[in-house]
Amino acid sequence: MNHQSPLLKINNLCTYFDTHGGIVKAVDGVNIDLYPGECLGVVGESGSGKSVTFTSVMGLIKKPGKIVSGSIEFQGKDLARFTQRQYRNIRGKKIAMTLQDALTALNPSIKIIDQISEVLKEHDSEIKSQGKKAIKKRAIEMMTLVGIPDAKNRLKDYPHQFSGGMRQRIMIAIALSCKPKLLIADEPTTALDVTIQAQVLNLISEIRKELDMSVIIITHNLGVVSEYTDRTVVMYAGQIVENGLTRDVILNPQHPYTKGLLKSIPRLSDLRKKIHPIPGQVCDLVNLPAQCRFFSRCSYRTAACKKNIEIRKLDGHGEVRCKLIDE
Amino acid sequence: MENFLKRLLRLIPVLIGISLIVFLMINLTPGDPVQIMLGDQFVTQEMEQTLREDMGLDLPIYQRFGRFLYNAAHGNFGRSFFHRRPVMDVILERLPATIELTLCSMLMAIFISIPLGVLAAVKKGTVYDRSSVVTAMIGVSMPGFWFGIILIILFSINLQWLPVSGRSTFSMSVPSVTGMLLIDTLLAGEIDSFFDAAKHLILPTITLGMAMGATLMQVTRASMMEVLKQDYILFAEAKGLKWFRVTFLHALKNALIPTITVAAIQTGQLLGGNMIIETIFGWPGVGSLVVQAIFNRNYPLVQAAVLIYVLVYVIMNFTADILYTVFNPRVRL
Repeated sequence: MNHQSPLLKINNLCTYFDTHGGIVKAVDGVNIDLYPGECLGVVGESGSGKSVTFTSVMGLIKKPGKIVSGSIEFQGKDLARFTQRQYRNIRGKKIAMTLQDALTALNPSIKIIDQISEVLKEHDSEIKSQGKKAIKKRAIEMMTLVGIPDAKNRLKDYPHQFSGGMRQRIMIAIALSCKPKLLIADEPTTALDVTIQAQVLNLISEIRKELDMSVIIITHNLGVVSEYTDRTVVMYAGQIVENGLTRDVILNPQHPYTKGLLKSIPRLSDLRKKIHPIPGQVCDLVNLPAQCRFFSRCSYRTAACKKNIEIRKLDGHGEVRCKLIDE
Repeated sequence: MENFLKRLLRLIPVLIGISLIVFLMINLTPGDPVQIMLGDQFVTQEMEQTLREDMGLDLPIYQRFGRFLYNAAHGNFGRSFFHRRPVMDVILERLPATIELTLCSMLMAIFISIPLGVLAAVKKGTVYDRSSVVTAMIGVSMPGFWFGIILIILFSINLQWLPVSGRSTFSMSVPSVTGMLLIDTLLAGEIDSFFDAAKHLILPTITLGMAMGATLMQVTRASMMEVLKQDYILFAEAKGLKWFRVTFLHALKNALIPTITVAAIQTGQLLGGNMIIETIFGWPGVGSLVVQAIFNRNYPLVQAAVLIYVLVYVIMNFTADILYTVFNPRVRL
């Protein structure tokens, strides 16, 4: 276990969306500690609140969404109280984010060079003072770093002139151009071919070591988590249901939901074995029942689960939100 | 370039088709130019016949059309019955006034409506957004002739701030370089005349610009709202860029694509001369000229004017396509 103070400490974060149908509790009391240099995987299905949690960290929750309570401490300062102006010194400079699909995340009508250099101009006053040439040089460096062949001649190209994998690399180059302390990668592989996925993830881990930054990988792919992360957080219906070292979570899952997720992965090694999808759907986030949120889909449920379940520490490093695990 | 040539070639059948339609319409409209021209004067049958032959109106209609096409292809659009001069000369004389009014209205519409549309989209759902949507709706649905007359009553008659009609109070002695008074007076260094011309421009510009601007604002607002939902805006914000850069570079550059198309089409329509506005404000442009020509059954002038409309229209569409590639690199001509 790491004894340094955490780089990012999310404390009881609640982000709600006030919609016509009622208040959607997309993130409901999430606690996450992230230590310098650590790689954290955040797993969960669509609507589990994983993206909203980290969009909250970036301060980019839009109306009708709102951070209702909780704190987001980054390097000792509470980002949840930051103004937009203060946030600009964090976003892109200290915390960077990449989105799922680089095709839609890169501006289709702005040249690549401009999309990279505008971040440098905004945050890196040192390189800005050295003039245009220095910025351009740095942009080429970043593109070479992420493995764009012949970067020098492609600066004036537009996003649509690159392949999917290349676009993902460019987005990573943009995110990393100011050498942030923390990279939040939202579904970095979902939009990519399987062969390219590994390349992009390897790239992220290499750069992580090189720049000594922390990385958060948001994904619904447990394979990605098991190979590239140190610690894993499993989210369900706006809450963390399991949190532990990746090795423990994958090899010895505690929460029925985590178990279900692992069972629903198709395995090539055992084709005859049927996959077991988790039945049902995520519960309605507006009318949350006062019971375990996984209750209706859980195959182990008992009468004891029909009340609010608190997250509990396990013997080792982990935490789990389930009544059925021995106290 | 190859595409451009193809477009030009495609224009030929369009021009022939439109000529035919216009030719038939104006020639089949009741009313005889010879009769209109003679009015109450007493003339003998022979004199009338001579005049008719002179104007080429004695031939059957299909021969007249053939002759018109042949002459037009040779750049000869005939003589205006009314002015007794080649129609092209008459039209070209009037064109600068129309261009001047169009450009002013267009600039006013663009510079007011695009920022307003952007703000409305950014502040979606606020009082500002709602009031600008209502204003735009009024602007679009208000008839130009009515709005123009209201402006004249208010600013020219009651307040007496601005002239009622025309392009200038006294006949201008400045040499005609572009034909546009704002530019010519400045070139000649006549500041008084410049302000006089500008004063005459204000009301018709507002009348035209209001309608155009209202449409442009609605289009800009709608496409801006669509663009603001895109991932690249979220990513631009995640990069820590300033609000202004995110909104006016990242978002607007993409949102302007539909606005450009609409603006180009509107300009194309206006360059033909807005008949109603020009008539109300006594603006000596192509629009009011064509209105007169229709009343006089001045066939050659109407035909030539319509051909010019079509050409201008196509040119504006082509300009829109070129601007398109600037804003949207995914489209290559």
